[in-house]
Amino acid sequence: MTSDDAVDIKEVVFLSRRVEEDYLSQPLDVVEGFDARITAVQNLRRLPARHHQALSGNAKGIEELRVFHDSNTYRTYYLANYDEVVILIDAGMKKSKKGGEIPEEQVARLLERKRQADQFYAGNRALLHERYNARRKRRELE
Amino acid sequence: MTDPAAGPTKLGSGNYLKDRGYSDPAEMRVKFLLSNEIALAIEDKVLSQKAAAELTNMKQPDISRIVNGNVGDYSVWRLMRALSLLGRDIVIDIHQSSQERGDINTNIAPAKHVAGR
Repeated sequence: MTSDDAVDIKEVVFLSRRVEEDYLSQPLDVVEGFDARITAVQNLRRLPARHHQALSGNAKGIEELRVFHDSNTYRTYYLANYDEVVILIDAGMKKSKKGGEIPEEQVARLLERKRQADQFYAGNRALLHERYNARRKRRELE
Repeated sequence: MTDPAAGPTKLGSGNYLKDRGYSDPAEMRVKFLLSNEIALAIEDKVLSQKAAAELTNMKQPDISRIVNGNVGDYSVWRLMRALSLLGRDIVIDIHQSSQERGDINTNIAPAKHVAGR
């Protein structure tokens, strides 16, 4: 055990291997920027308004992280409405239509992945909660 | 699952940056959280990056990188000093650990003057 084993409040899960691959295929500075924002989210920190937006309407519950790099905006989507875990459901550069609206086909994909994430959470809730309690205990000792 | 993107979902270790392969995950966690607090302080004060650079005795490109979360090249001390110059107190608390080797982590007090997210 070393100081590098210190734990986060919530754990982070990539919904699928493809989400992880999409996330890691972004430029290194972009990935590092998202790692910084995810570190803040999983440790229950507020984010600057420019870096974060909660989606609304039928996509409510899905949240967007933004990284600005070389005149492009990269976006990563996650679900943060579980106590124990942040589930990443989509990543990559998304060129929004004017007005910043997300294209309909992408909304449909996000909603399908949210459904899968909810299913994953429901099936693993007890385990996730046990792990969360162990991390909380360790952090209380700090 | 019908989505072809759906593959095996694996749980993390509870230490995200270690899972991501950072060689110094605890240090990077502290740096990332400091960069987020610096970005928040600049936003709360409605400062331009130029004004933030002047306040923190840094160059504007440094502020831009730090705000964006690209903090690997900045020391924890440099980030703490910038954050303090933006109006945040930072205290290092040291406790006896219940483990043989202790943890290094960050606790951030909720802001009193800004509503939570």
